Amino acid sequence: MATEVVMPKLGLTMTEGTINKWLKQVGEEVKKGEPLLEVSTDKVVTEVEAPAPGVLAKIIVPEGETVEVAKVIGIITALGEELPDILAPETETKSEPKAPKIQEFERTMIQAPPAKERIKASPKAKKLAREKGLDLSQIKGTGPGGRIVARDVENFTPPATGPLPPVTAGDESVELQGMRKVIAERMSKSFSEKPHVTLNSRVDVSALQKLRNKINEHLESKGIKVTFNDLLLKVTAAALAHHRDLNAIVEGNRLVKRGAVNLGLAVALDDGLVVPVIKNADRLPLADIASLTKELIEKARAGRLKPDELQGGTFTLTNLGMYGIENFTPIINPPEVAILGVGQILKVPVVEGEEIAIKPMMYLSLSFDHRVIDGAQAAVFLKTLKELIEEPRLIWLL
Amino acid sequence: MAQMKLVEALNSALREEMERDERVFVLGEDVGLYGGIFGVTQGLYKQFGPERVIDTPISEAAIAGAAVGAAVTGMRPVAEIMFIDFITIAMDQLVNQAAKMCYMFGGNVSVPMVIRVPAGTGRSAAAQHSQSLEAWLMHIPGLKVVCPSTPYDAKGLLKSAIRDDNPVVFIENKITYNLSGEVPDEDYTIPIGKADIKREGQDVTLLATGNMVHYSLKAADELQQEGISCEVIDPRTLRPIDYETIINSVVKTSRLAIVQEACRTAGPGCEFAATVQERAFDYLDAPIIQIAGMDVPIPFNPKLEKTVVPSVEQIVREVKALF
Amino acid sequence: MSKKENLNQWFYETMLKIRLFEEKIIDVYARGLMPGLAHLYIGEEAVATGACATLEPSDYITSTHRGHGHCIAKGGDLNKMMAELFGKKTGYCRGKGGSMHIADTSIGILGANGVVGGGIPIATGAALSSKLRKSNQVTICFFGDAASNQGSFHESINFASVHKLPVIYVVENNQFGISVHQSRHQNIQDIADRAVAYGIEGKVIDGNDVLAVKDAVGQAVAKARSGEGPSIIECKTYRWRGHHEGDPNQGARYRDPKEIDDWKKKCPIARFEKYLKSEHGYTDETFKATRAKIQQLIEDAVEFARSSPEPDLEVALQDVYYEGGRN
Repeated sequence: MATEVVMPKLGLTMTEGTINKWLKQVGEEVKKGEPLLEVSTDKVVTEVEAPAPGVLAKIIVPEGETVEVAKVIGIITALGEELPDILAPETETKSEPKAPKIQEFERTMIQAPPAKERIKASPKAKKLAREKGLDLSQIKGTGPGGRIVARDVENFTPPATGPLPPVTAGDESVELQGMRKVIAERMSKSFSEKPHVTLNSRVDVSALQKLRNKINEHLESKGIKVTFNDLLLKVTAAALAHHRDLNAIVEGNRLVKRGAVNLGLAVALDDGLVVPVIKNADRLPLADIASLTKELIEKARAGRLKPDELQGGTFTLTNLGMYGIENFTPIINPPEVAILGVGQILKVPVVEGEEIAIKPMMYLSLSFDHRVIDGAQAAVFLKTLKELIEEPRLIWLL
Repeated sequence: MAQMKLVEALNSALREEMERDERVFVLGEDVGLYGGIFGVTQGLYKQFGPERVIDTPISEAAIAGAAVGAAVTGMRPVAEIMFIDFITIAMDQLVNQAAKMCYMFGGNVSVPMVIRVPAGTGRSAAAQHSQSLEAWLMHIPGLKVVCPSTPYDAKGLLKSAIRDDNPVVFIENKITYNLSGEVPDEDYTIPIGKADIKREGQDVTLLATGNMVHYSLKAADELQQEGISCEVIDPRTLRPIDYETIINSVVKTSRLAIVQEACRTAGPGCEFAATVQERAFDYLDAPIIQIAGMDVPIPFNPKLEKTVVPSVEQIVREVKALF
Repeated sequence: MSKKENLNQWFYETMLKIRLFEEKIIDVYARGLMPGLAHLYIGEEAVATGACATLEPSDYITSTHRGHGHCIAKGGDLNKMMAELFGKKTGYCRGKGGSMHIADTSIGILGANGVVGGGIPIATGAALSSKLRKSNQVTICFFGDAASNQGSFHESINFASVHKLPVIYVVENNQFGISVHQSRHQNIQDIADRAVAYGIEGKVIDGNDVLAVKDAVGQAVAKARSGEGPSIIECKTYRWRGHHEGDPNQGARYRDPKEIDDWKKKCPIARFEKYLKSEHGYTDETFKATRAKIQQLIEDAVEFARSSPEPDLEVALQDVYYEGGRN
């Protein structure tokens, strides 16, 4: 019976071996267990023993060649036996294991009990949403299992509309966008964050009106005209310089009383409202306030205000007198801490001493942030303002 | 630069350290005449003689204990435990003695020893010769645990381990022994406790040691075809862990997949996952996953053996599922 | 042929079964049909055969990484063994244990072991159990010379001695702990000397003489059954092959090939054939017939293993915890 000589597997790591030397010639007799050839692997050189006694009938793989483990490299036949013509190939029953039914670690997430407010989002997505002030419930998750991941937050544009109110014929449905949207956000933020208190005080404006007339006579030659409003701005700025508590902003836990008095002036537009800022109003001559205010209002109406003309306000003045409003409760322009509302000037009977006099009177409505300003503080400021309006010369005492 | 196999890199590290410092010696089962069953100590017996390359009895507790005793008395032993599985027999000496002595003795005693342990699967060596027990060792304050994946790292880290004044367990992944790579001709060391970025990427960090580094790199190639850019980090040291490198990577990629041959429960990945979520929670855009060995002993049959440890294909599939 | 019918024939057939099984493994391993490691028992057949001849089927053995011989001598099924070596579904462990981890508790085989000295405490525990259960079983604990350097050896034998456990520690002194000769791993010649330290009897015998093994182990078994405690029987023998089938040139790195040839002259099977011829009238013809019969069993086992299916992959996840038994 012919016996195959194979490239032997010599240990755990061997996959192929090189035949260094056949130690027997073809035709030479071999004993079982006798060294037949020398094989080298990546690790060792070793002799391979004859697997059977007989004659080395054929060398299939010559010296110097490298072959895989288990490949037939030679044939030993029994003494006198003929070399079989055809070497039957190995007929090994290849029984492949069944297709893997095996489960890898099942990454099933624990299912929280159904709760509507539970939103699946990655920690990073949550952090991003927090930073951008976005509401995760508005964002659709595209991660595994519908999880909101960072890219979902990054790619998210806030929807233009919330749930639409029912609209019927004749209604006009308009999306809040642009300036309107900003106003909406700022006003609701201010009103929900800041506990508002409004103090009303009625002031006699006859002295200030007289002063305005005198000033305008002086300035007529220069072509400058001062409005009553300009004077109000001037005295308000002077009063604020004296009451820093109200010339302030508040952010989070921090109140900053500003050194500079930057007066915002609310300007109504057809489609909204802007508040240009008169910087350092307490240090500006009245004529400059007048010309600057005029310019800012014109720019505001033309939509040409620059960003820095809208920033840095420390206090805002809003005047609804021209609409016949006597008094109102203005909403503070955040992050400022107070706002002064100005009403219509009306000639009304006023008791003066024991007599009744007709005087031009006007309401001042001061709204303040009660978190950082107490009622008395605000009242003292308002009192100063009233005194300055009724007796403008007192401005020299400040 | 010379091209050499990892086993040769280890061998040259041992040889050079023994030439450099006569306090360094090697002991273990079949490390002398035979040259180590994986050939790591080949030729050392001839060069340094039986006194510095000691064939020990098959007595793991004694090998570890002898190394401890020699280390605290001025020598720098490098002991070989034939398979990491047998470190269980040496555990008292390693855990209660070597790891504690410096601390217990008020910092007055150093234990400059290395225990080399071949580990891992891939050779049908079955349940008692194929484990990945690094988590056992990572758990012990006082030990250092090193686990290189390339010939370059292996040589530089083994030199550092030998020069270190503390007990270092040096884990060699047996399937990587024949892996070739470039190794500088001149003397160099790699600091213990420093991870290495084996491949830079943007979308996900793959954290792996030993042979799993190579699987992860292959998986990264395939994932790149699908538009997923993987960063592959090899911590190289498992105690102390270089969290700075790992956290920086996760902050960048927002995703972490730990690939390990060791079985899942209380394996090394649990440590990585716990610490990364603690320190980089807000940067995670997906759950940290462990692509780990299954919680079974290692079976003998080669196909079953392959089934219970991660494959390249499994890494690709599980990483894709993170996106 | 059973032990009781014809002990001599059983000795011969068992040793031959082990020899031919192992020789077949040389070929099977070389062809890459068997994964993992193959530690062969060739040259040491008389130890397992002589020792197991003294046991009842209900008695226990613990075995080693070089365990095929113990398994065959204790009555292991050749087909299931071979299939396990191939990693097949039909193997003893359904392909999950391999050569180093075969067990068959139904015939008292408590398992081969991949850890040197790992079986010694287990054998001791089995003996403790049979003492507690008053079952009259004994345990034979097989291990090599090198295992006697493990702590488990010393701790277990002291324990068994103190508790007079019915266990026989059979040292197969094949002279090598892998590559390290006995003279380089311990400073004694006879491991049986260590018995003195534990107050038990230790005997040294020729491990290549199956009759001597049977006599010595038989006496120790009788002693153990009668409640007189453990013994150490050291069988001097020799490993013909390398530590495993990847050990180049049968261990030429650490031993002189001439030494192997000298020990081959002391072949336990040839020696027993001589005895059978001179004392029991056996002829070369009867040997040849027996050999052919056994060879056929081995070929059948290989065919069984080759044609058996691979285990299903889900088998890898089974049996981490006991599921009630598989057989």
